[in-house]
Amino acid sequence: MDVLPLRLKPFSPDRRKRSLALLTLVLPAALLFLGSCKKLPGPDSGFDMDALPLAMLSDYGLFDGPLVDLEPGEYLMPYTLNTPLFTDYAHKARHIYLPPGERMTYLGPEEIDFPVGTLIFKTFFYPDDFRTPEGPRRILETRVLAHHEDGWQAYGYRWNDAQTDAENKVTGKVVDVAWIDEAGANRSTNYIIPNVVECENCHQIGDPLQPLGPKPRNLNGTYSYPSGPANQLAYWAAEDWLEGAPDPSAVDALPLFADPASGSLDARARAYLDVNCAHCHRPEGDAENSGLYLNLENDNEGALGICKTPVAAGGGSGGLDYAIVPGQPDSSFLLYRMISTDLDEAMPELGRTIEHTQGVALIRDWIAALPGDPCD
Amino acid sequence: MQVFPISSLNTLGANGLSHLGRLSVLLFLGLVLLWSCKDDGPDAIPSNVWLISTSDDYQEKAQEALVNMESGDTLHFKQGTYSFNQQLSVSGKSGIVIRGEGRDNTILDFSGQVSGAQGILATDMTDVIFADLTVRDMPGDGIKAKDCDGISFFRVGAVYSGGPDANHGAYGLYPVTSNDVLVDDCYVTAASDAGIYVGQSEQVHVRNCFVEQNVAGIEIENCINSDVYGNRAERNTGGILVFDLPGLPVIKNGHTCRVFDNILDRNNTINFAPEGNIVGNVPEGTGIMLLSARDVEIFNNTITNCNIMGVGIVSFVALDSLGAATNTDPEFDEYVYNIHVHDNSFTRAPSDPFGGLFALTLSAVYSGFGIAPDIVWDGIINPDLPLSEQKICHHDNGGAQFADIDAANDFTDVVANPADNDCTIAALPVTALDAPALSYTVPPVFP
Repeated sequence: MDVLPLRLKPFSPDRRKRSLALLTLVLPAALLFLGSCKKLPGPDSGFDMDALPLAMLSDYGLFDGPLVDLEPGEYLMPYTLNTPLFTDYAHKARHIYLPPGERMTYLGPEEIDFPVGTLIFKTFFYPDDFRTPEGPRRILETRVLAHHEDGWQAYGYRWNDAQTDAENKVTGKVVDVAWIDEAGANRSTNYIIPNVVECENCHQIGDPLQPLGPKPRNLNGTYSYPSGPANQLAYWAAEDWLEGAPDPSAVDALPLFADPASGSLDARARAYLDVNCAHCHRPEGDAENSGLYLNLENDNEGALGICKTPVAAGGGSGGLDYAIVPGQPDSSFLLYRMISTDLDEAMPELGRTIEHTQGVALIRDWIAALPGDPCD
Repeated sequence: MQVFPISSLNTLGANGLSHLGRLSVLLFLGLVLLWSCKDDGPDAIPSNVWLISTSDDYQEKAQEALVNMESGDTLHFKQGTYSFNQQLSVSGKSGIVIRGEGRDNTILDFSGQVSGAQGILATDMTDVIFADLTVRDMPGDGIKAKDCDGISFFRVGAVYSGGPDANHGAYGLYPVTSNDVLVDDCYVTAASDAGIYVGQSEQVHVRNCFVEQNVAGIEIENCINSDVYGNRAERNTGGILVFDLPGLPVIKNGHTCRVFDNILDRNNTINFAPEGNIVGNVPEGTGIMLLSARDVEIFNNTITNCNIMGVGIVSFVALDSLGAATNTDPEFDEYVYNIHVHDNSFTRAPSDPFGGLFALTLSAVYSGFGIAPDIVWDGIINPDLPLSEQKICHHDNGGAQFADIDAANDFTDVVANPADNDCTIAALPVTALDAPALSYTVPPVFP
């Protein structure tokens, strides 16, 4: 399902050196031409960041063919994540744009440095029938993170009903969606397109905005490129999109939360909580005042929720005394809030209007298997 | 429905600006009016006012404004009822005003909301004002303001229709981890936790508000330097709470709060907080309750017909020993320090029943008094500190009864009016406040 047609420009192993050499050759020529044919900002020369957001998604000119096919052009790198954020079962197509000549830099298993001018696109869609995900589908929105000189900015593009293009909007919208799930059941919900302030609420880690998905440990998995399946980190390094990355075997990969072969129950549960909760539930996050920290790095049991009493939970504790009671998922309000769809109880606060049954099952199993005495 | 003369226009745009800024805005406005005064003068809308009316695509337009507003701008909802199905959110703005044309005239209704845990969420704001509107029937909280530096609510309502109900949102007006917070002349009813909740904030004034039929009318939680005055709290479970709770990261232990000139009447509503909620431990019939508080002065309040206690002074240790809550936070100080209750008036009909939750316990405890005592202290002291650092004092309360109920020892040694507590503490200073102000008290109305 994640095989997207792709035509990647065959970059040389060291674009920067080549660019330097090219520069010395072409500089005099370029100077001659300056004034007469100044190159317009665009995919092949980098965007004028001050002109963003462009009015329509098509204005970026980054996809080939009809926009609805989301076929990445030569300046886009598609990617996937081992454990993604749950967004009401929406499918997602992810693409990174780098200005020509620029590269990402590996800083560690949790962090990539993206050059100024980077654009990250995430498009949300529902296949009509999840059993044939490559079949007819409805695209709802494309979210864009743009890396400006002074930090990241979030933009939203709302797809039209004709599915020909998407328009930049700062506002959100509630959209009725329906699909047939993997088991053949008819499903529907009110899909929530967030407004840009809500984009910022999640992406604001500390003060500046940051990308949340593309971390090396979550990228350390296989993608099916036109040339065949390959490890994303290795492929990016080989294509000279990423520098400084060690061999993928040296980067702890985040497991696939629903694939027991990819990691232990504990590792998969912590991966799921990290991706779905820790953008807020971390010491620098929006939910810092709760004192519940679900980021992978947290190794404090109390902050992880074990025998932790509710803080400012309103009705969200569901009458339960502790976030997590080891061995007792049904006494743990962390699980209760993952299941609830009441607006003042449901977690995460944004992006989920229905229960994620696989995620809930995973956390239920994890709490049931947690060692330790029941609280009190 | 009153329509105000157009002359009130001249206050527009002046909000939150310096005198110089105000002058230049007025000058500019004057020029605009001069320029266009020929026939359409009265219809001129200042350019820094984002005007919303019920005939607009108002949800889209209002959220767009909240994203695009600049410093000094006003988002103005004309009178009418607006229905939203998504939360309104705003972040990182400075010096903006969000207002309507009166608490009873501009209603933002969230009963159809399908997204967001608040009606309005404002984060990381500087000098923001909410004024002259009501938010109604939110599935969650009403207006939450987080990490704000200077935030004022003037004449704002937060209403959960239908009276007390555990399914209502927790907090009506909810500033948290902010400083310079002013809540003035606001109205909140039927919130399932606290009508007006100010948490983990510094420099707080809550004044001239009317709160009724909430679990807690007003709650000051883990705050430093608060004044709560001139409010009327009626028919809540507890009228005004000053609480410190464990496990809060920004302010671990609050202190210094003055509660004065308030009217607390018939706060006997059965506690309807959702199960498991800390405020569920507030006994119905509570006028003012302090929990693990430090440096609180309670004076000049009129406390009438609050059936179980006029003023309750409780440490977290008591909740713990009653099995109501557990403290797992080593940095949290569970005790109560330096409480000064004076010059209040307590009135209650002797036949009034005790409240429900702790009624059995307390009626036995109170049996020696014939009537529930007015000021109730759990009698718990920090054994590691001298008594001089943890005084509980009362005087000049019109003959009010004071009870040390010895909660640490199963209420075995209840003492009425112990001599040690007939003492005084120096008055606390006025709480300094640097919150944004409005230049009018009657909201401008657009044609």
